[in-house]
Amino acid sequence: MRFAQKLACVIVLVLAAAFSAGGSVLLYGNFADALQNAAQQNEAQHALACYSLESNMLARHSRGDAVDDEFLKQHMSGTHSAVGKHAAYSAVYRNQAAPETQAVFSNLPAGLENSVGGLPDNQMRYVKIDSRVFALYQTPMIEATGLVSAFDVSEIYAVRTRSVQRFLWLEAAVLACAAVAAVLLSHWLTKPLATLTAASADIAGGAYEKRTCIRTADEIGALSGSFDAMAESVEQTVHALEASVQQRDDFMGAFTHELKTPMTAIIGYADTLRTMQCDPDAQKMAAGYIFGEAKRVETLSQKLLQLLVLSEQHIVLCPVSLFTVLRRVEYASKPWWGKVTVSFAPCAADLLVRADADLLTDLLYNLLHNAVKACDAAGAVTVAHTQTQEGICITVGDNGHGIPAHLLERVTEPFFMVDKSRARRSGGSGIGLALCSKIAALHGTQLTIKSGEHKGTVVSFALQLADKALAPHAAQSDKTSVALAAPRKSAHPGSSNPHRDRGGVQR
Amino acid sequence: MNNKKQAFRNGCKIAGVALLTACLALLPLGVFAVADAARFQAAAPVQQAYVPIVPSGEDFYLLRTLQSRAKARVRNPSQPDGEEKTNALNFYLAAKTGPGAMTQSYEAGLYALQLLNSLEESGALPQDWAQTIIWKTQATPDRFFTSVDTLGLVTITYFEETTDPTTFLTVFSMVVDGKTGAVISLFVSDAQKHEEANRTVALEAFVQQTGLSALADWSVPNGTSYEESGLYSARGGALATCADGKYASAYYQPTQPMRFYYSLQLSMLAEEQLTGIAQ
Repeated sequence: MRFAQKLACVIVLVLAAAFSAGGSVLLYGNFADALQNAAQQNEAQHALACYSLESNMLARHSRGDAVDDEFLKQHMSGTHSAVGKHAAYSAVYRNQAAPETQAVFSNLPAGLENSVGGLPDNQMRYVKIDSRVFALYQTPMIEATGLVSAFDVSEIYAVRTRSVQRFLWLEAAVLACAAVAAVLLSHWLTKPLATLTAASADIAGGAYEKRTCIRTADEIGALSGSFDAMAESVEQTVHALEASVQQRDDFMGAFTHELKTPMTAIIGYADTLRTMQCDPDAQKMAAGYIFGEAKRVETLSQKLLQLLVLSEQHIVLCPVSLFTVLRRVEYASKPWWGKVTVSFAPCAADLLVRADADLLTDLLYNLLHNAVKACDAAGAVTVAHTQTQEGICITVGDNGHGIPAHLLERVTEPFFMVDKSRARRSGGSGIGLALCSKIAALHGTQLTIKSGEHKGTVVSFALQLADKALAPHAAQSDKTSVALAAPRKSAHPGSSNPHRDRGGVQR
Repeated sequence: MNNKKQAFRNGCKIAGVALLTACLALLPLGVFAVADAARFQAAAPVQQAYVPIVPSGEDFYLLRTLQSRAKARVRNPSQPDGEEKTNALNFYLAAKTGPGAMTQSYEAGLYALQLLNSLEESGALPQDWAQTIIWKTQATPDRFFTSVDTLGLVTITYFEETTDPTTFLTVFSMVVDGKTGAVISLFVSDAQKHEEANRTVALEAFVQQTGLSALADWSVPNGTSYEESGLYSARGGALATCADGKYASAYYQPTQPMRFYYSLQLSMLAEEQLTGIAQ
């Protein structure tokens, strides 16, 4: 049975019980009052008949006349005819012990005499004969006589019967209307529950965007709100899972593509060397292509390895001299600036930030590398920093090609390249910004990328300032970092990976 | 299949609720049925019960008559019964007592015999007494004499001759109210002893035949000499007595003077007089 049906049934049952109980009390009260009024009248009339008979008996005694049966008969007949309808029925008996066998006079209806015998003195009883109801009164009098009066109260019972019938019809109508109203009301009240049930079923079927949208200020509204919040959370989780799966698929596809491209070149040149008799220059060129593509695959594998390592790594942030880090980046990147103008904002030598020196160097190196690659020959790149209340904000900006707005969210995904052809030409693999994003996350910050197509790009991130009391350690760390960051000549002209050259970031 | 079963169960439940609702709706009928059953089964006390009229002696003609006779006797106690008692207020002529003063009446004798039969049937007069008197007087109804006083009280007496020609023995004497026919007093005597009478039954029957049972307060006057032989009504101020015993009659048979008697008597007696009669 559905909840709405249960609710409707309960409403109807409670209403029926209350209506019926109230009606019973009302009807019974009216009936009892009517019966009481009739009883008072009947008692008075019976008492009057008793007084009349008894006083006449005494009058007979006073005159010296005999109080015989004939007198009693005459008296009762006269009284009955005089009083008429109000006298109802009566009987006079001689023997008080057995009145029904010693009746001197009786006009009681047939069957009523038998009820006289067991009636105690000065008490009354209601007797039902066929469909008529009589109120029977019995009073003993002088000379062992007794008077019985019977009053027909059938009309009171008939009125009661009619009242009950009217009440039952009314009750049936009220309950029918109440049942319809209860069904409608219960359906209206439980409609939010049905909506919740349907929504949960839809969500269970995969429609995670389904919401109840019930806005009521009651418990159901609160439940609906909680349900919607839960559905929102589930949807986000599912979308995150789906996005994760999609990223994984994209990663695998991009990784396969990035492997396939150099391998195709390697296989092609290797097949040429294997099957054809080339001149020495051609052989050297083919070998050079094979070597270069192999190194590119190696670089790719190293970056991927670094990305995996960073994902599982927990670092300890130490005071690091930002000046030293910027000098190391400048020194290491200067060989591939080309015609692009790179400018570093002046930095105080004692400015300390909380960071891992090597990872921060890698982060700035990669951002600077991406900025230079995004610029044409007349481009300009600026590395600046501004001090805020929370710490220091470092920005790397360029006036290069920029990034379309709809691609901004995806630029930190591995293997994602805004312009693949340009990126490949410059030796990029789409891993750099992913690494930068990981490193920023390890420092408790995130990259903020502002860009517009053909308007350049500004990448910024924030770092916490460090206590200068730890400067000696920072200085020592800087020395180590500087030593580690000593530039080495790239083994491959197209390689843009500074880690491979410095080797210090591979932990 | 499950849906059908579920639908069937739901239908059964809804039908049950409908049945329960119908039962609840018919509650007034149940209430009235129970109330009627209780009302028709048991008697109920009357709220304003009729209070019966409390009669007094003045309500009865017979007692008023006896009271008048008693007052007349009190007014002139020196005048013996059978003589005129007069005063300034009224005139009362008592009934005669001797056969010479009374009137011989055959009809009075027959009427007296009828009353004897009635008294015997009601239990006021023991059967052997009644049969003895009837047997004895039937043979000589000419010995019945009657006299009426001015209040209408009829005295009927049966005399028997004694050894003294001038003296008669009263075998049977009865005073009857001429209007109501109630026996006010009865005296019967016999030479033979009869079985002892049941005074309680006799007194109740005697009071009943006078019509004074309507006083409804006849009771044994405990603490008086009438404790075993009387019934007293305080409302009426009347005393009914029943006595039997023996007495000596010098004129009946000198060799055997003892005779036995049985008497019933209704007389007026105030309550203070009754309590003054010590046992």
